[in-house]
Amino acid sequence: MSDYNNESLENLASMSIRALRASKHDEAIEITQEMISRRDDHAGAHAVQFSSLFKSEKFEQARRMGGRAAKLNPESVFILNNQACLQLEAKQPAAAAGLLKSLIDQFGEQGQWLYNLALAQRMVGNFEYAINTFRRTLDYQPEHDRAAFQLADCLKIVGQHEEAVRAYDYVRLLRSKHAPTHSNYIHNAVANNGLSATDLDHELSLWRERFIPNDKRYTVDQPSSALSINIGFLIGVIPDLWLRSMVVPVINELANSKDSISVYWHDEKPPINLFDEQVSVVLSANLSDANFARQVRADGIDIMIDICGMRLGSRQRALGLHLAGRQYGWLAHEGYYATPLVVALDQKMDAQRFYIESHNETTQAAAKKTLIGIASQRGLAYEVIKTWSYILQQLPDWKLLLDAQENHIIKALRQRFSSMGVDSNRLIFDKKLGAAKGSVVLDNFIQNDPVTASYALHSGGILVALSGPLFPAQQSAALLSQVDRDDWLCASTSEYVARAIALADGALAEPLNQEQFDLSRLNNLQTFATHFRNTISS
Amino acid sequence: MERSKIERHFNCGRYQRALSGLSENERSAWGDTTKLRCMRAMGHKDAIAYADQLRSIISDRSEAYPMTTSERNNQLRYISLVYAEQNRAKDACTIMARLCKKSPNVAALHREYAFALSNDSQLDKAELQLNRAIKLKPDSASSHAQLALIYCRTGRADAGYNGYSRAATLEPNNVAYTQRLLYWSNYLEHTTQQSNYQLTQLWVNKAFPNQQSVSDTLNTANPARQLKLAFVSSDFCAHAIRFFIQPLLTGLNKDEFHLTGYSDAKAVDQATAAIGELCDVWRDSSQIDDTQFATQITADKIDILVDLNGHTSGNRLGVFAKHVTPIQLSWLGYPSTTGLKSIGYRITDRVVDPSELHDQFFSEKLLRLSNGFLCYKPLENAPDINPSGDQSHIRFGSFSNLAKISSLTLDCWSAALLAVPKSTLYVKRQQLTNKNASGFFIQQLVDRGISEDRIIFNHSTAKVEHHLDEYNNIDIALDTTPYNGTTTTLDALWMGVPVISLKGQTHASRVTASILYRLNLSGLATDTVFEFGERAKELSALQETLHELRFGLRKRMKESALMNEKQFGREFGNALRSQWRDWCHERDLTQTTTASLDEVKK
Repeated sequence: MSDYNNESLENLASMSIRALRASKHDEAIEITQEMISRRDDHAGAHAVQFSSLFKSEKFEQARRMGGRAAKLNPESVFILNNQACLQLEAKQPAAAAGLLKSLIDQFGEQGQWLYNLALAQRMVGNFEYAINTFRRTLDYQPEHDRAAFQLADCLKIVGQHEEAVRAYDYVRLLRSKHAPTHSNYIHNAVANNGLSATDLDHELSLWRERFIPNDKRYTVDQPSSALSINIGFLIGVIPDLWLRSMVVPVINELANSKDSISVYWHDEKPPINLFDEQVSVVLSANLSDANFARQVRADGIDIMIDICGMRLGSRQRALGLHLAGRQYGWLAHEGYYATPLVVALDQKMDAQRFYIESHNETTQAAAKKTLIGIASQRGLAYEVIKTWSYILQQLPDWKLLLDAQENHIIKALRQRFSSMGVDSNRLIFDKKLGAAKGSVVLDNFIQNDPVTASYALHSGGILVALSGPLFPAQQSAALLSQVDRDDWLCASTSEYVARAIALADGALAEPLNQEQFDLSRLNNLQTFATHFRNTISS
Repeated sequence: MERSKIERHFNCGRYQRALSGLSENERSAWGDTTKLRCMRAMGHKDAIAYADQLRSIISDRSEAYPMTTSERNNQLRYISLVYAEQNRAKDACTIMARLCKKSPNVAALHREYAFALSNDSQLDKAELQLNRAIKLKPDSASSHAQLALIYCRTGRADAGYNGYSRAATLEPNNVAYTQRLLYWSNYLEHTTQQSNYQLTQLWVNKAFPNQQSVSDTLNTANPARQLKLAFVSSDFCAHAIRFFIQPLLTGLNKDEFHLTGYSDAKAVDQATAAIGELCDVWRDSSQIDDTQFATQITADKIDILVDLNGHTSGNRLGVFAKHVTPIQLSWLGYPSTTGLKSIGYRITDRVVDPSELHDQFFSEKLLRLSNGFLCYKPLENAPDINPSGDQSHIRFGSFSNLAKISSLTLDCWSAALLAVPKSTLYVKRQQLTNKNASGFFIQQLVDRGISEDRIIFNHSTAKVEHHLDEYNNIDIALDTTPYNGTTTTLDALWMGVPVISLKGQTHASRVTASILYRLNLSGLATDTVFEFGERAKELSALQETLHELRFGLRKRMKESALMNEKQFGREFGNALRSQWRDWCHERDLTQTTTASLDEVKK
């Protein structure tokens, strides 16, 4: 440091630039440190120091001084842009957005700046702004696959499902050889009525052809012992309510038996206080498919239960390698698998398909003349909104209670119902309210939710349900069958509408009572776990 | 010539050289098959005769050379393809059925059989064959695309779109699949203008990555001179486009515009001749490639070039991307943006493309004509209008393309049928002979609470004047959405049948609204499905109004802007002239600036 004491500030400035140009970053940092100690608002010194830190990959140091450097050098594209990136990396989206806006205001729009700005907006939860900005990014760079993916994701989050499916399809056009992109599209399309049964068949056979390697190294034999088996559960990103009410209790119950239970956890957020001690939890989100297969093989899993399907965290490639003697899909899947090596367990469970833990939250009965629309937490598919709107138009004195809670979903639902001619004051969003004895409960007939449906049934609601061609739309039919109410299932959309209107007009229907509910074994964990174990091992 | 060299010529599209090479060699099974493939690729007029010759040799087993079974089958495949393409689809089907039976596990054979069946209008069987082909080879893009087209033609555009999406994913560098995808997206109710625009931009990026050269024309920049105006279309034949191009060509002032028609039509008929007669110069451009075509246009010194195809099949956007004339614009044939920066303008109107909604989703500047974006000239020998028959029930009807009958359309139609008890729905389309198509529609309507006995299908392929006569069998026409009828709407109105429509956000979903607006019938363009049903109910109850409309609509149309050729020609011409003046002004400015810079340099 002392070497520079006798140099003038001008000389130091020249020396620092020379050092930077010669990639002598440490020297440049040292010189600029001396300059800043003499004059702490020296713009050039800050600029050179930031650049040197950045180029020598001392990112955290660069970020810490980058704010000041940007302030002193408000027209430096390099500083503004890179500091914005560093702030984004450090999860400081507001600071990043400010810098990016300044860049765009000064120098005009550029694809990458727009993309980073949109990311920042997404991180702060400003989804509408993010959606518009991702779209602007794509106007400049139509092949910007990350922007396309983020756009699709944001559209899904705000409940614009049909647009999201189209956007995921667009991502697939850009990442045509990327298996997870294909899975993502398939899952979202199935969940939103975007694929017919034949389409799904074509998609899955195409997936198998393209993405499942023909590799027998991982193939495992049949279960070793009928008395004690190693059961693996592969859990992807599934709705929290399903996880807690249908999956975790069964796993914990099975873990109390002689069997050994492993959970392969594919969500990046680790499970906290979900599973009992006997359950071995493997955090496998970051494993490659091959490493995952190796891990499962090393664990000696006899039966693997996939609770993911094509959802985020999908391991269809690994399942295609036949990594366990028997492989089943359960609950959270699309009904069929790309590989014939996985069998849908749900059908094999016959009449007793579900165990659903009773929920503790109590709700007040909604006011009279209120229809209860269930499974709208993540928004609703267009077909459902269209049908429910039609019912509301036929029942002008009635309102609709929806169970969505997130503000952006509520906003989207209001807009979408409004575009169907339903005034937003006819929609009620109140988590304290729910079904009561005799309430008319409209099922989300595209993406069924057996948990909320069972809660509604338990409260005495009359479920108006309709079975669709794909698995997500067939859950309610199975649930009604389990509670011995097959006759509540409608055969067509027109029957669904007519039934809802007739019930609202006072048509009689006998709600379930506690005795019937108990008989259905929906809430008998021990019986269900035994049935489950027998089914997978038989 | 060596076999590999001939194959190279063939693969590079140098068919004539491949043929010359073949003629030097001794005859062989491979040689004859390659010759047939060359002739087929060239669209050679003698291809079918040569195919006949080869077929007869095969059936007589009188080959002049040894031929393995595999070679024979391969030759038969190409014979069948030539037959399928040249109106001998039945013969093609016979050959392919036998080949598929012999080799049931060859996916390509099933696909080619499906091609023959499609050309023979046996779409159900074609669908079956394609599903087999896909099962055998799931990653064949062409099988998915072929199946997608069948889905679209038989009214399952959603499934069609998904099929094209798979094809485009399998072959991302094949821009034709991306183009089909964006074309069919116009038919889907969930397509937003944004998503369509985005797909179009993607296609432009892929098709013309270094797009698009700026016009370096030598045309004189005189704002007042007569302009050479040219139209490019692959539909200058017995196609709906004739009802709109003829009045424009008639209405344009010939002192101001010298007219050229570039016809890419594969079929030439009376309509082609009629359009040709209205042009000062008529050229058949169907046999030349984009580069040759661009050279021709430059040689003709065209000032303004109008595209009538957009992204429809047979388009010449490749020529427009070369920016061969000072001004290029798009009109009529396609309901959305072309995406090309080289196409500067698009003719439209305020109802069909309201400014605040649409401008940002077109790469073209929208030129809005005051009295509508189209002018209609009906068939001269259109049949007379008959009085309504039995007044006891209302007969709704639609003669639309099946692909346009979306789920939303069916919602609208069901709303109308439910609102008017005892009414019937008369749907006329040839593709309804296919059980998959008719079964699908019936099921969709039954699901919506309409009993099957209220639906009447007609799948005759009558001549156009007889087709119009069918309108005498209906009282109220129901439009499709989000892709409205254009000619279908106008035909219905011309036959005295009012049309109820649901208007949306896109150009395609607002065309009928624009037409109805010109006739002071905007009330028939509704905003919601519920309103659609209510309007059907109201109109059905007003028998007198229906009667008045039946016998008054023709007169009303004749007196409206919809059929005012002169007014339309004048407005269209003025719009072009105004852009031409701007172009001249800009060119003057550029030249002045260049001259000043040169002086400074000196």
